[in-house]
Parts: sequence; structure tokens; C-alpha cells
Amino acid sequence: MNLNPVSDCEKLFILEAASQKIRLDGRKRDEYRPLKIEFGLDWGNCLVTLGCTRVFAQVSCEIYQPNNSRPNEGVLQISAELAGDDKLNDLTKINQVLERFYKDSKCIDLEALCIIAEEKVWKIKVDLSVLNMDGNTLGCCSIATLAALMHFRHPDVMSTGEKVIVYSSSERDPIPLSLHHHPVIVNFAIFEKYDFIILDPSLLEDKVCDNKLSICFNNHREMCGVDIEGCASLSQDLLMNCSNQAASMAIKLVDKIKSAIKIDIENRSSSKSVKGLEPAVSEDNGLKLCLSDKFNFIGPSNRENKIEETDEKMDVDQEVVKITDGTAFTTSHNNLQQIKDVKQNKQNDDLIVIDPESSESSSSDESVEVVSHYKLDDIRPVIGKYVVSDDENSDTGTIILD
Amino acid sequence: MTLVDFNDVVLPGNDVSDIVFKGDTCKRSEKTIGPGLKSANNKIIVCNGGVLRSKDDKYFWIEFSKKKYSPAKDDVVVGIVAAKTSEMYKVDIGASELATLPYLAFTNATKKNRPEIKVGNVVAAKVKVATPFMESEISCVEYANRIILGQLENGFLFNVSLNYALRLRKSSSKLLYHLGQMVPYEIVIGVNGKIWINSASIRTTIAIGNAVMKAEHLEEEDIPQLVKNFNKSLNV
Repeated sequence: MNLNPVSDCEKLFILEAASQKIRLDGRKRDEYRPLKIEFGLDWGNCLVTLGCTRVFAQVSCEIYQPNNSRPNEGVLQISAELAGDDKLNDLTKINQVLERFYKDSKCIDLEALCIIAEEKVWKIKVDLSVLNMDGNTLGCCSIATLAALMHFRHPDVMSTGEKVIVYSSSERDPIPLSLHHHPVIVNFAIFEKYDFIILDPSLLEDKVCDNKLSICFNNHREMCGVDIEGCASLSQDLLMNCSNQAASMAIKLVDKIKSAIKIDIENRSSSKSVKGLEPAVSEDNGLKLCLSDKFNFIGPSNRENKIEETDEKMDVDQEVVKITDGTAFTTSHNNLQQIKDVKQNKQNDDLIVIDPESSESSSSDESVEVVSHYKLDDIRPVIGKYVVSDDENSDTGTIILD
Repeated sequence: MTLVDFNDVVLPGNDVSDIVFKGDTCKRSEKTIGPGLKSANNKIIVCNGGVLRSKDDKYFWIEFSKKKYSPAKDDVVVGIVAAKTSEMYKVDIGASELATLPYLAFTNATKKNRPEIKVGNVVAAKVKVATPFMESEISCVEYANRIILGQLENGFLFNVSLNYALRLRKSSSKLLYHLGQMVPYEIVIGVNGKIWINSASIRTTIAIGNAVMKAEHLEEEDIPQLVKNFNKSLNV
């Protein structure tokens, strides 16, 4: 059941507005809504806000056996899903279009992701969750995908003959993906009858329009894909006009993503503690929470406190505030305290603990494979058993794959 | 236990029995609790965080912000007709279930004289039956011409929060009065947060809609300024 049907009132109103070339939110026809790109603590983790549309992206990587047809190429996988509700299968289309545009445009150097031909390659997975749909979901998803891919770094790998060593981020700096070019999708809604073509349609415009046109362009003004949805016939001139507009828009978008990444990396390298998505998430809640300054995560670039896993406990000090008529706001102070527990990795019984010095000898045992901790994440999948080299002073997690 | 007073913020789990049973103006059995309050074991417990309000020391309720409308009897709602069956319309009023609107529940409707409403049309209606276990039933029959119900044509529909819709419906709302002095318009505010607006031109409708939406978080004193800005934007 579609829970939000569009009424005739709205349809007629939008069409009438289109005939007078007015948009409901007062934008010009080629105007984008304000775009905000924020990065999380992890590499390849970002939240993109376009007007009220919000998409959260996370890139992860795993070591994977390559396809037989392409034995020396890594794998790229993009999947978008609606956060919370999976009944609305509205996103299959978005998935298809994204995969097609990003794979076929060969923007990622997949051969660089090969570790050992025919045996081990990196598989790069982009998980998008759409937190809020307010039109132009595809465009927002593509911005999130590109930003996350550009931001992502995978761990360094060295293959020495038979062994493959995966270095943790503390030993060697992780490597960014090599992108040949940066494609981004620009969306149009077309009202054919009134010859009204608009960029970045809102949800209502998206539902009412005759045609939806998505054009993928990279920052070199090269077209990477076109997708047309709808029934109206489009003339050649119109397509040319649209693609010219899309090309210049794509350049602007890519520039915006690049500058956002630059700022983020500068923040990480400077001594400032990285706040991640916390300000972005708490900012837009209708009821604003005042988070105390204690709430600072430790950013990935900070070297100290590595062994410590942080547990946050939330103490809510509620102040009852007098409310006068007409106001409905409450202030509350959340003192989020970080309790730092030093948790040794030894706790897990399945782990075989070896010293880093003896790693040479232990690797002669047939089934010893190590995949070890990257800080702050346990998302990344793992092949084989764990062997964690445990040194009390440093945490050099070396990963050895046979 | 902190002592709460009226117009205070209360939280789920707070015990407000003291304040509700206090006062001698009326008997204990005559006191009525409304949304957000629940009675259990002779206690009145808050179950939604919000502001505790009372009227005449007899009616008590919590004013809280919520997103989903739950139907209550005699509410005026605005809904979108979602489906049509042989005897009734199914109307989306923003609640968890679609509400039913029988063909005969219109003024002057008979078995032969059926209302002409299609799927997708917008109606203003009154909730007749609202129980937690059944689909709610709405009706467009007008009693003594007090309110005008039925199909709404043209105009534009948008959503606001439930709390704000209730505030707008109060006769003390200055905003609608001030806007009306600038420009003639029609408005129907459903308790379910759906607002229908119609005016002479598209521009004015959009401007009124924006003004209504923007005024949600404004103080009463700032409203004249908003209306002034609104008037400026119309004349451009």
C-alpha cells in the first residue's frame, strides 16, 4: 500500500504552477537545493543532505575471489536501501541505475584492486541507506556514492611470494582508491506539455512530472550514462540542452565534493579531534539536544588510545523547564560520558595469540591467517581465523593470509 | 519525586496523580484524562513526554508532538480518497489505517443520488467512529450548517505537525486573521495535520502555505513581521 498518495489537488496545482513556470519552493528551474556533505569517523563514511533528502553511505572492503572471466580485476558493488522500511521496493531502480553508471563508466581502477591474480582481489562495497526521501533520491545517492568512494581508503597489502600481508592502519597508511574520473548523476523532471524542465525535482514534482531524465556526467564533461523514465517523447534539442546543463552542474557538484573531502582530510591531519557525524545528526533534530563538550570520539588519525575501545554511557540530566503558552521546546542536557575500558584482545577464546616476533614461524602452520583490527570498526569482513599479534605497548596488527 | 505543575514538561513514567486529584472544585469521578495520560492502579501516569495542560481543573491532557494521527471522535480531518468499493470510499487521513466513508454519509445523498468523488480527490470530513480495534469511520454530513464538509476542489494540500494544526485551529490564532486581511483565501485545517488552502492565484497560495509553515516555530509577537514580509513578497 502506498501510504502517501498524491491527491488531485496537488497534481493539478503542480501542473498549473508548471504552466506558469513556478516551482513550489521558489527555486529557479536550474537551481539545486543546498547540498551538505559530512564525513564520519571512518574512511568512506558520509552523510549527504540535499534539501530534505538524506543519504548515508558506507564503503567497506573485503578480500574476495575474483570472477573467472576477469581474474585480475577487483569487484565493485553498490546497493541502496530504504532505512527502516523494506516494503517499499522503490529502490531497485536506483540500484540498477547506480550500478550501471558506476561500473560501466569504469571510474574505479579495478585492476589496481587485484592482490593476486585469480586468487585474491579487493571487493569494494558501497552501502547506501536512504534516510529521507524528498525527491532526487538518485542524484543524492550518486553524490553520496562518489563522495564515499573518494573518501575511502583500503588497507595496504603486500604479497611476498605465497603470503599476503595486510597491514593495519597503524603500521602503514591506508591507500585511497584510484579513480580515473568522477561521474555524478544529475536529475531532471520534464513537464512536456508546458515545456518546463527542472533540475533537482522535489518529491511532488518527481511524482507528477511526465518524464524523469537522469544524465551521468564526469568532471571532464564526458557523458557516462543516460536514463529516461516516462512516456513523453523528447526531442534532440532538448536532450542536448539538458546534457549541457548536466555537464556544467556535474562539474560544480564534483568540485563541491572535492572541497568537502579536502576540508575533512585537513581536519584529520591537524590535531583537532574529529567529531564525525555527531554534529550533523544532532543538528537537524526538531528537538535540539545540547551535547556536552565531553563527547569527543577519537579520530582515526589520532595515534594514542588505540587499544582502548570506547564505551559511551549516556546519562541524561533532565531539567524540567517552565513552558509558557505557545512554546513547545524543551532543553535537556545529555552528558555523554566516555568510559574508556581497556579491553585486551585476548578475551576471545577462538583467537590464537602469537607474538609479532614469532609471526614468521607461526605462518608455517598451515591454517594460520590473520586479519586484524582496524580501529573503530568491526564491520569489515574477514577471511579465515583470527590470529592477533598482541604486544602490550603497541598494537601492531599484522594480517597474514596464506 | 519532583513535584510537577500545570504547563510543566513531564516525562513518560511521571506520576501526576497528586496534581490531578488535587482541588475540590469537582468530584474525583468527574475528572477526565485525555491523550498522553493513562490510569493504572489508581494512579495517573504520563505516557508521552510533553507539556501537562488542564482545563477548568477537570480535563487533563498532555500536549506533545507526534507524527502519526490517531483518530478521535468529532475531529475534523482532511483526507485523500485512496480507493472506492461498492458501498464506501476508503480515505487516507494519515492514520495507521484507511478510514471508511460510506456513500450515504453526505448531505442530501440517497441511494440513487450518489456523490461524485473519484480516487485522488480531497475531502473534509468529521470522524464518527474511532476505536482502537476497527477502521475509523468518517462522514461528510453537515449538521445545522456549522461547518462545511465535503469535497475540496482546486487549491493545494500540505502537511504540518499535529500539534501545530491544533494550535492553528484555535480561534485565538492571529496568523490566519492577519493573512486574511492581506489577501482573501480559503483554508481547511484538519486535526490530522493536513491543511488545504485555496486562493485566487497560484502565487498567493504558495505564499500563504509558506507563511503558515514558517510560523510554526514563531512567537506570537513575531507574526506581524512575518505577515509584513509576506505582503512584500506578494507585491514583487
